[in-house]
Amino acid sequence: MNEERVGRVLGVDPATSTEFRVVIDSDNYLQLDDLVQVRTLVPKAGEVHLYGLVTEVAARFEGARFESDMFLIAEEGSLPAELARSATVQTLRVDPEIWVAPDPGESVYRVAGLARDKALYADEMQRRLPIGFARDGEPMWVDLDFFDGRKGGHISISGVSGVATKTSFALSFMRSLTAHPQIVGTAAGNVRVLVFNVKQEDLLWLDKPNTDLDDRTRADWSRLGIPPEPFPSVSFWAPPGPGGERVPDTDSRTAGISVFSWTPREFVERGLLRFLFTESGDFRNQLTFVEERVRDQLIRHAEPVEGRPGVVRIEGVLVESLGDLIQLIEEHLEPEGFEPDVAWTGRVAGGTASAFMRRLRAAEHRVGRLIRADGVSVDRSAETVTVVDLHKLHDFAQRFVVGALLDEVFAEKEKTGQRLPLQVVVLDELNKYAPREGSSPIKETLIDIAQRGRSLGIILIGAQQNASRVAPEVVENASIRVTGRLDAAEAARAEYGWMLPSTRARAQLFKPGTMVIFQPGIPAPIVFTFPYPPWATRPEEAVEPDPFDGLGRLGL
Amino acid sequence: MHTSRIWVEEWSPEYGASTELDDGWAATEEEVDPFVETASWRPVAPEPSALPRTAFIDGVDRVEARAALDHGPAPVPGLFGSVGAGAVVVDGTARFEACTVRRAAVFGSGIRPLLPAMSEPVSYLGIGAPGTRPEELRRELQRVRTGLEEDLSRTLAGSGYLVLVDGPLRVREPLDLVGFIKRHHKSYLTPDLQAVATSLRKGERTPVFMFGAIRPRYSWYVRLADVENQHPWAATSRCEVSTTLGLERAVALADLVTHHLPRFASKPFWDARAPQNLVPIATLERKLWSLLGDRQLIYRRIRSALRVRGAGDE
Repeated sequence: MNEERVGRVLGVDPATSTEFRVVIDSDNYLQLDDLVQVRTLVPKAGEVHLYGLVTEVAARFEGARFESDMFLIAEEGSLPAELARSATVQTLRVDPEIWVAPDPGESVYRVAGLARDKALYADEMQRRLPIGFARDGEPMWVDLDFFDGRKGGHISISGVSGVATKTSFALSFMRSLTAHPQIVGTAAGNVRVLVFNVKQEDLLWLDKPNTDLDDRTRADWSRLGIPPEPFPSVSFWAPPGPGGERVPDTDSRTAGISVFSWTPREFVERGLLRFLFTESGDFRNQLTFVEERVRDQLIRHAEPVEGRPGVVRIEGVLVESLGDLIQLIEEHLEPEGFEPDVAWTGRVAGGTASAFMRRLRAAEHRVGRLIRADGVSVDRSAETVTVVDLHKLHDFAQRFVVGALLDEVFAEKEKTGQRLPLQVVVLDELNKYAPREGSSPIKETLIDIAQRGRSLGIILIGAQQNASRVAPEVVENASIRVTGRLDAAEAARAEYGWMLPSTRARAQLFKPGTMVIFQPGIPAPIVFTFPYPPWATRPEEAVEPDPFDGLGRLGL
Repeated sequence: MHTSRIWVEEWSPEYGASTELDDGWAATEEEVDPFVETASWRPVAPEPSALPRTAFIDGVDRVEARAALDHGPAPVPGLFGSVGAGAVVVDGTARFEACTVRRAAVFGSGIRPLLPAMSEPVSYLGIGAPGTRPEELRRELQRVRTGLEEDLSRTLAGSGYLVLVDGPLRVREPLDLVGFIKRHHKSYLTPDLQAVATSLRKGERTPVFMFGAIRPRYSWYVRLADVENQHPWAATSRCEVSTTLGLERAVALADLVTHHLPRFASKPFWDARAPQNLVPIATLERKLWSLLGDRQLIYRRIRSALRVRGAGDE
């Protein structure tokens, strides 16, 4: 084997089984995150291979005692000194598993080929999905057993908005997953991805090639075994415009985008009312208590209307919109000149019923356009990737949509009881939907997904600026943790305990596209980069295919 | 009341003083000719010049174990010792060159005993010393060291280096070899000429004088640094070159060396024997000590090797 020697194990301070230092050859170098190997001969046990990760590098002049000696060495040239460069290595793996310290003086090699696979435990990964490149420029993988629910599930992605490239990574990962059915195995069949677009119209171009893609990036994607092309199967969904017209409420793109909404009947029968009470204070203020009573009453009294499938009749009143429904509820909660109907309010104080009604009236303005008699719900089964655009909706309406859709996913999977086909949910701003403090129906659904989704085949790829702001149940249940650039104060929190001190320090300097990943199969965080997306991420990058392209080929 | 000044010696007390006064600083017994360069003695400030490729040479020696050999009626004393010698070469940057370690087992009465087998890098060369007194054995060990130093001086001077050797000059050939003596044991000058030496400023020297019957040398005093509140000889060292070079070359070397030496002088915070303990030489000495190896470890090796049967008399 053609091995590249980089140095020797230092024994000035004791080398240990978990951490040792390497003095670097004068004609070579080691940088952070480099993977190295040492072979050491252990009496009675034979040759033991230690694989490790460089966590820090250092350089010093040996023989210099004072800081001013630098002038004598480098400027005056009167003081001889030896330049000593060293690296600290954390052991990743010992093979065979005899935990000994490497002998000082042993040669240290940069890993390549099989040795690199060993260092990253890739030889033990049954299904390794390429996700990008480690710092040595070679592919880095995710062990799918820890993604799709076999041994673990879910991915938690953290990092500063704008530079941490959280969504890009989630999508790159999904692109790789959908491009490698042979690696994914049975779980690849009919996998469905639900993505929420929360910022600008970034994700409305997933099906368009990126004009800014250079040849090098193209080659990088090919090296990962992924065609440098946009997602082949995507459907886009947007809410209807605020005026009630059935056109998607988007700016840069309208073609190929379907409009989604719910019918009043769905709203009542599926109890979507609860997703209008998702603020953390609602539970404390007993609003959710009232909501529960009202929801029950609505379901109890709802009757279908002949010939109009989206509409529902309640106590003889035709409900064709959210406004109709609110008016109906008002007659029970705040009837003019009468006492509130106890069956609907449950004997709460009058103020609580009023607060409930105020919330509903405000909701009509924000959510009303999503509830309509001709409503069409999001069809998640049509294409592999389903993008639901939320960015123009009010925060309140965003939570309603996310809550309603997650509930739909969960209910559907719970009904079938089948893990496959997999349903992946990509959700950014998890801190908004499952905040650390308080309780809400969306948070409960997300915690349910985090805890039971593995066995139900619902995989959450959750992203947030700060993991410390998200419900611990959600973050802790993610087998795979990924982080881009982190804020200094955030990096110091216990949620990032899986990072090494050197990684934490560096996470504040990560450039877009550089992230660090921790997965159960590899006992150390590995820094990696992933190539720029081959799909357009903004309108300027999107190429519209020439409608006349192909006519030449037809001989016209 | 006595009005003479009292100066505190700049060197750390464990090194003695830069002026050894125990014998009252006796005048040399050698014939001194102070007027070989000039008859009018006053400080000489050499013209600035470029520093040629320069090598500083030094050596160390250390006794690691005392031994005794069963040989006839009385045991023969001996010692196990290590010596090191090397150079610091300065030509823009400074680096170590040809640092060598030799180990010798010296036994008295000229006996070279059969030494126990020891593995490298710690193995000893047997040497017989003429006498049996400890200083006679030690002198034999030092001879190994000075041998290394002299060989290295010749090699480097022969390949075009200006060579500064720590200590008095032993080589007689006409080479650019300068002995650098940091400690004053004897006075070579009459009191009126001494006044010139003590009035030197940094980078100045006295005129060249000559002394020595068996090994005649040209010599001069040089001031390495301006120091305040020190006795008049502080920061002053003496250099010597062989007379075989001829007076003209000797004076040229005196100018060259005098101009450049202050740059290599050490600072009090840096070295306990500042400024005379030159930076390259002090560093070389540290390096050589470390190359000799850990003394306790070597002592243990010697003991365990001697425990093996078969070692002993020839």
